[in-house]
Amino acid sequence: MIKKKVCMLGAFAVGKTSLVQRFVNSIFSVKYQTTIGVKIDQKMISLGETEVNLLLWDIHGEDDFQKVKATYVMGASGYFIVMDGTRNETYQVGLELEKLARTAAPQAKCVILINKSDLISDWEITPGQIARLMNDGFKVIQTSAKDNLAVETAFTELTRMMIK
Amino acid sequence: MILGSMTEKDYKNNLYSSISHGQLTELRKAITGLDSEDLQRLNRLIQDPEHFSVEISQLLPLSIKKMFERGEVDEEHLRKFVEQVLHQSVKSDPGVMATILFPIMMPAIRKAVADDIKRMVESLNTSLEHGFSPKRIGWRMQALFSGRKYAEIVLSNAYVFKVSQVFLIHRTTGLLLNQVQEAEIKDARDADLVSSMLSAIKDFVQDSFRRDSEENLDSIKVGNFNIWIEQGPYAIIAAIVEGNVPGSLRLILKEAIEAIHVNFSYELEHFQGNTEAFVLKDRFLRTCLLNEKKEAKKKKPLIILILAALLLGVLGFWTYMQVEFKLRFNQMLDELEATKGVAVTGTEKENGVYSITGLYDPLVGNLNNVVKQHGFDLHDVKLNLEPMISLDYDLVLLRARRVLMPPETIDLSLKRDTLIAEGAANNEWLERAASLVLHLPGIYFFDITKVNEEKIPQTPARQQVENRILAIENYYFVFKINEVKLDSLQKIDFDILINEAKSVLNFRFDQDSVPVIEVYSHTSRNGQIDANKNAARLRAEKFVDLMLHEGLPIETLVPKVIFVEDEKVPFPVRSVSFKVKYVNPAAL
Repeated sequence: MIKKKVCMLGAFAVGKTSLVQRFVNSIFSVKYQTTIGVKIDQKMISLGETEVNLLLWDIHGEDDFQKVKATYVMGASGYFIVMDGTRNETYQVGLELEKLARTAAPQAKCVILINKSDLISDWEITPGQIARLMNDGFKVIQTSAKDNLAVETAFTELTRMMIK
Repeated sequence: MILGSMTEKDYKNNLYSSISHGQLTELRKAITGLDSEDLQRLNRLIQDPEHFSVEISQLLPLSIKKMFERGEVDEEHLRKFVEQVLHQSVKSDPGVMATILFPIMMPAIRKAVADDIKRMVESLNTSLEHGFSPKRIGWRMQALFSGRKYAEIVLSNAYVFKVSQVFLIHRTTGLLLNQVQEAEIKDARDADLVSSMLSAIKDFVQDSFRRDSEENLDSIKVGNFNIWIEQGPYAIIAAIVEGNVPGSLRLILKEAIEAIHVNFSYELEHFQGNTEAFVLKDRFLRTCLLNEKKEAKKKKPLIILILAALLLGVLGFWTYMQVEFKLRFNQMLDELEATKGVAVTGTEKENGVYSITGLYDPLVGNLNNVVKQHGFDLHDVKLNLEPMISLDYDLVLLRARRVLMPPETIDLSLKRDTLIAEGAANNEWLERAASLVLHLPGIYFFDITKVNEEKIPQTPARQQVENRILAIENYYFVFKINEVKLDSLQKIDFDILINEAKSVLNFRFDQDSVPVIEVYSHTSRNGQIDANKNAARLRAEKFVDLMLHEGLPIETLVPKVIFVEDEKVPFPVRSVSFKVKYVNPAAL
């Protein structure tokens, strides 16, 4: 069995914990609970003949008062940069966190998730911004933890990238 | 030479002057292949040793490398050289080496000392936790009686612990490489989560509180158990420990993490999430699964509880008996001391038998009855009272009545030292009384002024004899052990007894029977019965001898032995009493 450390990174309230809960426990709660420090979950995922145990480090969201520690990301094989499509400021925060993660774990694979696709009509992050990300070589997936849109796909894709 | 008288210097000068500078330079270059710049450099190397050393230093590493490659120098050569140099340096000035090593050694020493102190404090804490508890007192007692050192016993008892789970965690990723747990723990599915969380906590602590890169999180306390963490360059061992852990566990964890790094150096360095290699070889982790079990407290079996209860009951009953015995004993002593004619001088206990010593007047009767009345066995309480003549009013009067045997018409009373007889008596009694009374201790005068002599008829001879028989049977003499010796007071009684006996023996009620006096020697079944019986027999025979000396005929005296236990109203032990019987003359 292969084990992989995966980090969830992003600004606060972008839906990192919701994505993990949807993926691991198939549940979604509208109640927002901020993550303090790190919460770790695991989920076994099968890719063909390979079983991969994902250790999901749900790291607290970054804001002005709480900066993500690079040590949490060290040793990760992959990470998600989660952005909230309805809040444009999360785009910039996501990019900064991506830089931090790339420094802390240079070998790790990255997938950018634009979350809350159930509210796509309210999105502030523009298709142009998304295209720019893709042009920069990032894998970008639009997800909705609430409606369970592309959540499984996102995790499967990152896993596939990690064990390639 | 052609130069003749020219000196060498002159020759050189002439030569130089004949050749131009440029030609000379060309010539020099042609011969040596070096231009003037090279030559100047060479000249500087020769002239200036410092410069030479700088030049050489650039070549030396390469030169040494080449020598290694060619096998001209190996590590052994260098090692010897370095060792010699170091040795010489330390020998000549140790301070230099100390200064060099200071930055390296000090953190190492500090860490080692801190570790040791921490271990010592842990050990001390463990001891202090049990500080003044009954457990510690128990250990001291154990040490006292077993001859083992107290510290040994403290260690063996205090360090009761259990390492229930051991995690091997990849340091960078926080992924669980392997984990072992004791057999009782069935479900270890969350080990991966625990491992990651531990790693996160470690990262957080180190990130938040780190002051020195050498300082690591080495333990976490959660409720009743501790998580001991030992870090290596690539992996971490986390041991879940319960109980009082000995400091030596730290060393075991260190050795395990070192062994893992030695054996899995490649796997650890190139870890990509595959844990198979670590799972297959878990012996290093298993060495950390230690435990030291305290000897399980055995369930006290019911029988022991019953026995303990019985023991307590017996103890309580024994205490009650002791107290009750003492109270009864004191009551008995009070009664004895209050009895006229008895003087208790002391009590003592020997081999569980109470002995009461003192004096008593045999007239008070058998004091063993007092002992029995208070519920004591004569085996447990013995009266060692010596006979005496009491001058107590009642006893003097009683003795007078027994000796004088007044008829029913006579009333005897005592006023100070005068015995007063009142009533009617015949002359015979008066004469006999007058002859005996002054022998009685405590009586100095006999007042018969109130006795009417004439009104009383002569007592029939038969009646007189019967009275004398009663008198004889009232007498008894108590002797010391193995001794039949009459003291002065007993001698008085003895003389009276002989007189009475002679009178009785001289009288026959009829032709078919003759009087005999049975001399009873009283003894007890206490102790050796045969020995007692023998002593009693000898006492009776000796007393008979005394009577024979007084002229009583031998055939009228019959020595006999009797046990006080067989008597209805027992006489004192070691006493001699009498019984008058009439028997067929043929039986004599």
